[in-house]
Amino acid sequence: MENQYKIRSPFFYAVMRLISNRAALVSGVLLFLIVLMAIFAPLITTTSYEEQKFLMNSLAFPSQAHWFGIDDLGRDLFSRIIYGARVSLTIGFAAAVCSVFIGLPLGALSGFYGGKVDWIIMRIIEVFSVVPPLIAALLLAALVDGGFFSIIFIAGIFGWVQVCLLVRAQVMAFKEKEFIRSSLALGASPMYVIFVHLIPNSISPIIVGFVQAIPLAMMLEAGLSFLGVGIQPPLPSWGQMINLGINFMFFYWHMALFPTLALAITVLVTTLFGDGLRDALDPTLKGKS
Amino acid sequence: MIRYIINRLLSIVFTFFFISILVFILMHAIPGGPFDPVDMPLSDSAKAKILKQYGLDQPLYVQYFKYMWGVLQFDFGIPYQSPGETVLELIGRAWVPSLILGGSGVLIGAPIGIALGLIAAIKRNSIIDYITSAISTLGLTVPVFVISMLLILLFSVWLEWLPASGWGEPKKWILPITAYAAIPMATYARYTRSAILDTLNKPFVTVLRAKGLSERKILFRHVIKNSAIPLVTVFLPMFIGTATGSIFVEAMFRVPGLGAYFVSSIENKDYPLEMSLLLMITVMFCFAYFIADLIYALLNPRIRLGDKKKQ
Amino acid sequence: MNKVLELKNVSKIYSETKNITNFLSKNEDNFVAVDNVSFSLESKKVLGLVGESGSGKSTCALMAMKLLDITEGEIFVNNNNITNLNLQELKKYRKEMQIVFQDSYSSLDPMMTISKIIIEPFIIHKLHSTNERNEIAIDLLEKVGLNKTYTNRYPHELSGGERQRVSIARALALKPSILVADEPTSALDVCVKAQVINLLQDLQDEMGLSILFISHELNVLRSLADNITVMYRGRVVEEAPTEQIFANPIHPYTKSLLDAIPKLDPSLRKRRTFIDDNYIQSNIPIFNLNDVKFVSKDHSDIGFVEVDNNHFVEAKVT
Ligand SMILES: Nc1ncnc2c1ncn2[C@@H]1O[C@H](COP(=O)(O)OP(=O)(O)OP(=O)(O)O)[C@@H](O)[C@H]1O
Ligand SMILES: [Mg+2]
Repeated sequence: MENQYKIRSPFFYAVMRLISNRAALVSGVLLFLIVLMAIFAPLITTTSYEEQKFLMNSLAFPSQAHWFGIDDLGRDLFSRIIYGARVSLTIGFAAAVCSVFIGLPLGALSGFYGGKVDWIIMRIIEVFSVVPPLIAALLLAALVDGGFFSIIFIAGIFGWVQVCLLVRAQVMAFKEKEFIRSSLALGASPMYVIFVHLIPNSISPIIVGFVQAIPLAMMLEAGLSFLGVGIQPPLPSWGQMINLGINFMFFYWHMALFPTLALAITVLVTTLFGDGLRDALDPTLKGKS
Repeated sequence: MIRYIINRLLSIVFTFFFISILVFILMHAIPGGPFDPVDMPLSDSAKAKILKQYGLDQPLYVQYFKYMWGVLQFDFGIPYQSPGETVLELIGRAWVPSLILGGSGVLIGAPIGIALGLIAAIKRNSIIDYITSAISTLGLTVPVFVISMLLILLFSVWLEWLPASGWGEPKKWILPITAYAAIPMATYARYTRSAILDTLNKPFVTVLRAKGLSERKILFRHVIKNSAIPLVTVFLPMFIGTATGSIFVEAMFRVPGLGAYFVSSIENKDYPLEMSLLLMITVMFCFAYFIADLIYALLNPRIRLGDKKKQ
Repeated sequence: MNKVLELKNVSKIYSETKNITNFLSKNEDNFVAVDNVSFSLESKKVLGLVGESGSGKSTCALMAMKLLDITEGEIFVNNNNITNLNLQELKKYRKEMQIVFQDSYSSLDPMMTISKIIIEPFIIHKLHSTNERNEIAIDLLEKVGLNKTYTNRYPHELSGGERQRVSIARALALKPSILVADEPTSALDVCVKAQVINLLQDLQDEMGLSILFISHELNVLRSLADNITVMYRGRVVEEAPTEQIFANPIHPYTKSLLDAIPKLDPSLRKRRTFIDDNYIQSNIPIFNLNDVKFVSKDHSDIGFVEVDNNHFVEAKVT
């Protein structure tokens, strides 16, 4: 009896809510599969993404041997899509980590200290909200000259705002709570309170902010690569492949269709899973972000 | 209220100058200059002459203040890529197709979205509800160039119903407008649905039901009025958002609009055009949010701007 | 008498300095929550602080604990002025005084187990080894009438009374000499309320605590408090030994509080009359200058006067 009772932590209910949300569950499973494919790409396809092994059959349509066909340079499109998942997911994930690293401390400080600290951070966020991320990213990408890590960095710069706002709201809601005051009354320093009480209590918004930052970063990367300032060849990126596909779409539709679908499905699935996670972790956050 | 307006205006001015400085620094930090063509390098003396002509030989801060002084008098300079006209003329010319396509997209997408959201909210958990939420999720998550690509593949490549690219005859406008319409439609479908459901759950609706009012009257007389506020406020920002969308839509459909200039001005270091485009977008967004907040306050008697204690 | 905690002419003004508006213009919405309040807690005594909701009791408690900025006035702990100490300097006084809040649920971090909550004081002050900490935690739990089966539970798995006991255990972990109890029993039912009050009384005897006990009901204080301070609208209006308050209330507000206590004898029960501000303002006690003398005064004729031995009241003197 005692034990059964203990298992039902808030986390238990969150998991239950997530499982009962069919859309989130299905997207979660799909996302998991995509992640597996990206991790085990070399096991799934034997040809690498840059080998021009099939030059003779350039632009061949999908077939049994080449599920997604062959591109203009004689590369297996399926391999390129799978490795593209690697690039896209890695960038999404790494950028989300960056976003949390920037947004979490700023949100916590802003929420805890309020006043001038808050004012300054909110003005910075305001600046970010009126500049379209894509256009600013274009400028930055030109500055740092594309490339994998630059894109992660750029996406992180634009992803932290949401994390910061979520954490700030949570910290503001909690800082007047008595357990924070009790801790301060015991002699705890503000840093102790922030790290031991406020951040662990913000874990739900942090997770939500993290997961929601992933598709945003993936879209930003795809957009920049589409415009030619993102991931540089030969590294495959879906955005880049879509742009290339435009030139071929009337005759070799597979060049355009598969990268488009891959990007659409991955972004969709990640977003749906993020939304489900948000609703599961904190039903009161629903629709607020 | 007046204090609030003054505050917001001050804050917009602050943001404007902050961004102008930031963009200016970033712009000049990008290696290379506007007159370093790769294929045909200019002689040193010719380059010096042309730099002098455009004032690019002066220290950066002088260039910045000169440019901003011009901006304050509505002189945005001359674009390097097409020196025959002013930046304002170029933007005015290129904006026409973008505005026609983007504007029609929003004007068509928004009402459809509202209608879908309304039906979805009334017929909850019906097929229409599910379709609506599928559409709105797709439109809200998937980048606009992906939607454009799918539209082209479907309607031009396979069905061969519509032309995929170009500008001119209205037939060519249909697909780009549809692509533009996706985001407003999705946004409005979702907002409307949740706003109506929210309102339907309010106690005052229960009171109206208890008074014996028919569902139809409740919906049309009371609920829609009370749900309209959030719908009005997202309109302007969304409208301006089409400017960013134009970068992709116009690249996909090969429309000679404003979109391409965002990219080319950065690529070619066309400083005056680059600066003007960014400042323009920023100011429009600032005002869009500002006006949205004002409308929100005017429509919602419960909110008094200036004492946002709860925020 | 030895004063362990003293508030001297303390005021608190809540003002909104949140947005840019207030950086630019100085007309803020100020709200005086506590207005020139002085009282003191004597060693090993219980001082009851009573007043209606919103009268500024919690604000006083938070200021006494230095958990809130003090607009004006001074706070003394064991005769040391702690008003302007920084966090580092305060740390030593933190061990001396602790606070228990009304809302037992929000007093405990929902993400921590009970044992973690109770050993938090030792972690903050870097005391004892991990093993010792756990042993002490169990000791403390037993002291407040719980046992070690509670250690791995989370706050939401406890009842309100149990949670309040945990709060008390945590507050007493550092063996403070002063305890501020801000309505610790208001959210509890009558039976549990009595248990918690008894617990506090036992602990007081055992540990030699001085307690500032805040309540909005006078009857709770009758058995517990040695002295009572009555607050009304951010001001102290009457102060006296407990029996003196019950036997001879002078200020109209104190009288109305006494009136609010349910009577045992049915024949004494009558329809309650709620006294409004106007009534209190216009019925402020008036004394002759020859009978009493001011202890302090704000205006020319209104101030704090001693009407009896240790019985003070805010009054008008003519
Ligand atoms: N952070 C704050 N900002 C502005 N006003 C506040 C703040 N906290 C408290 N107040 C106001 O100060 C007054 C005194 O509040 P306080 O919490 O001290 O009352 P209290 O006597 O403890 O009441 P209760 O018995 O309900 O606990 C109240 O009118 C309250 O509205
Ligand atoms: Mg209180």
